Amino acid sequence: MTWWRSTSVVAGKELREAVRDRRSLGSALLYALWGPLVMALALMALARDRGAEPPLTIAFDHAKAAGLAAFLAGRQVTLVPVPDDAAALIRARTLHVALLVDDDYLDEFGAARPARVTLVYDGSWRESDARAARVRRLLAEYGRLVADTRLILRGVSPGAVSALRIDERDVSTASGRAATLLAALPIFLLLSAFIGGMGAAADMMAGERERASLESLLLHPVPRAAIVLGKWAAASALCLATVTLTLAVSQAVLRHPRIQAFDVPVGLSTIDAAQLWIVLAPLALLATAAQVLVALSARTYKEAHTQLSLMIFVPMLPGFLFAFGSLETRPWMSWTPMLGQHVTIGGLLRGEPAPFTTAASLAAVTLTATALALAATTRLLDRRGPGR
Amino acid sequence: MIAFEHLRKRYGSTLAVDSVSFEAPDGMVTGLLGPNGAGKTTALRALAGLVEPDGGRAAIDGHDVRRDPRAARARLGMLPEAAGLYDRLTVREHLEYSAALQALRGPERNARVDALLDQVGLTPIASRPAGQLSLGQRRRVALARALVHDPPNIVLDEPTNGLDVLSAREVRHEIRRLASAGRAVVLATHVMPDVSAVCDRIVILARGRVVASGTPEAILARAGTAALEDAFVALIGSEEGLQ
Repeated sequence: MTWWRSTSVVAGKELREAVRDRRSLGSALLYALWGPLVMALALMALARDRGAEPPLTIAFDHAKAAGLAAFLAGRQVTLVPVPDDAAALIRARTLHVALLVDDDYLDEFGAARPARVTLVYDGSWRESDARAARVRRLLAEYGRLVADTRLILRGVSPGAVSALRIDERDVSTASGRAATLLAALPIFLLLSAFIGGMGAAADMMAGERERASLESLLLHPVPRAAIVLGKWAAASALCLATVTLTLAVSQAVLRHPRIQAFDVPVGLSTIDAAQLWIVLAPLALLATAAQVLVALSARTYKEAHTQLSLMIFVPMLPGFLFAFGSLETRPWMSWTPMLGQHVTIGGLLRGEPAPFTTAASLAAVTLTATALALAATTRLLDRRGPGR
Repeated sequence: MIAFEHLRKRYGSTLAVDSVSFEAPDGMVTGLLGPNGAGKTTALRALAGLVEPDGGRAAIDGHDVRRDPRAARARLGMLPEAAGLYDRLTVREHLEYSAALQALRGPERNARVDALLDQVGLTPIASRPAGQLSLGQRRRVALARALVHDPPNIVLDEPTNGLDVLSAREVRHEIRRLASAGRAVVLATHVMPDVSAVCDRIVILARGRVVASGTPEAILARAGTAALEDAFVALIGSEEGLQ
């Protein structure tokens, strides 16, 4: 019998068995659903926080400072009369901010002396504090406007009194901001490559050793490598199916009107999803190969499961390190399995063009590591046999 | 024919099999007897290529197990002590899987599977998952699997362990049938009724060594006892006394 035929016979049997194990299959597939859904919830919360600023209403006595009132009204600020107990109302959280104008405001203003306004707010109340900051920005802008006019009237260039001019430019593109929101997605995608084949790998190696069916399998005149390859291929197929489903669900979630309605340009086109799949597939093959090796070296199913569960931390590690800023992207990372996929997926989600050369060398390194893991598994199976 | 020549296997500081030599000729049932831990299972695992011996050799029809493992294994059918079935596969699927791994294909495979199911009396439960079978039924599935490629050499490790009287009797008849069809059969056991009922030759192992071998009559004569069980105890005891 050809080598290839033995491999496909083993793979076929493993797949048939795995598909009948509804509980393991269900938990693997369930994962593919909850990951993106949790992300969707987080995304909605973030989008709500970062959405358009709420309308600003200030308690302001506009009769006392008509010029300022006109300026504020021109900036879409709603002005309401100042109640007598403004401070108490703010403390009771029924009013956000009040802007009190001094009685001699117009006199001072007319004499080109600093005219006094008092901003009343509650610094311990987030919404009051945020509005106060906006009022401060508006007042600074108005002050600069008036000062510039006065200088021009006196024949002085406003530029002469401004040693610095500060311009702010946020260089993150619109899709770059989306990637910040989608920071959780790479971790969920990497996790799917680690979880999809885990249960199957534990069962087909450690489980078979424990149930003694590995012994009867090894009695057949089949090369050990074909057995390892067949089992790995079956676990990999389940893993790739899970990755595909995770991508499909992520895409569906991101295309949902509730998410699209927010002022955040998120989206995952089918081409994006396909590119992500191509980056993830070699990693799924490597993860499964490593899991098959670990599961074979374990004495019992339970021991294998414990060890494989600990391996789940591997894909989460780069995510945490990048998130907490203790890891900076360096060139060698882009062709290191795991880190490379993390970096590449992050770039793709930021809308950067697909890095074909680095992606290809990353895939080559990952697949070489896969082959080494499979060779080690074959050696272990040959040396240790079916016994505990 | 199965042959062991000075086979040795060490696990750490324990010498599990110590220079074991014996032959199991075609057309006969060779009983491999010994107390627990005597090295029976280790010797048989070395024969099946499941463990690497430290010295000596095991051969099946002249094929060295280490040098030509696949040819040797293809000429051997082995029933391990544990049935080792897949709970989620049906009885028929077990036999189909084994047949496929033994390179049987298409109509030939289906015919062989049908014939075997009939032979071991599993046809009525062929589509039942192995997880729902009784111990005796599981043992019969494992036996059918060991025979799927019609091997000229057969090794049975404790085949009647845990079986009820009727099932054990059925298995003993099957063992005799296999030998009378010209196959070399090795029966590892410590169940004395099995030995006296089916064995043509006996090899007694203790502490990894062959302490006696020959026909049941020769063994009885050497031990000077009337019953095999007494001979067994006497031979093992004397060996332990010598050490």
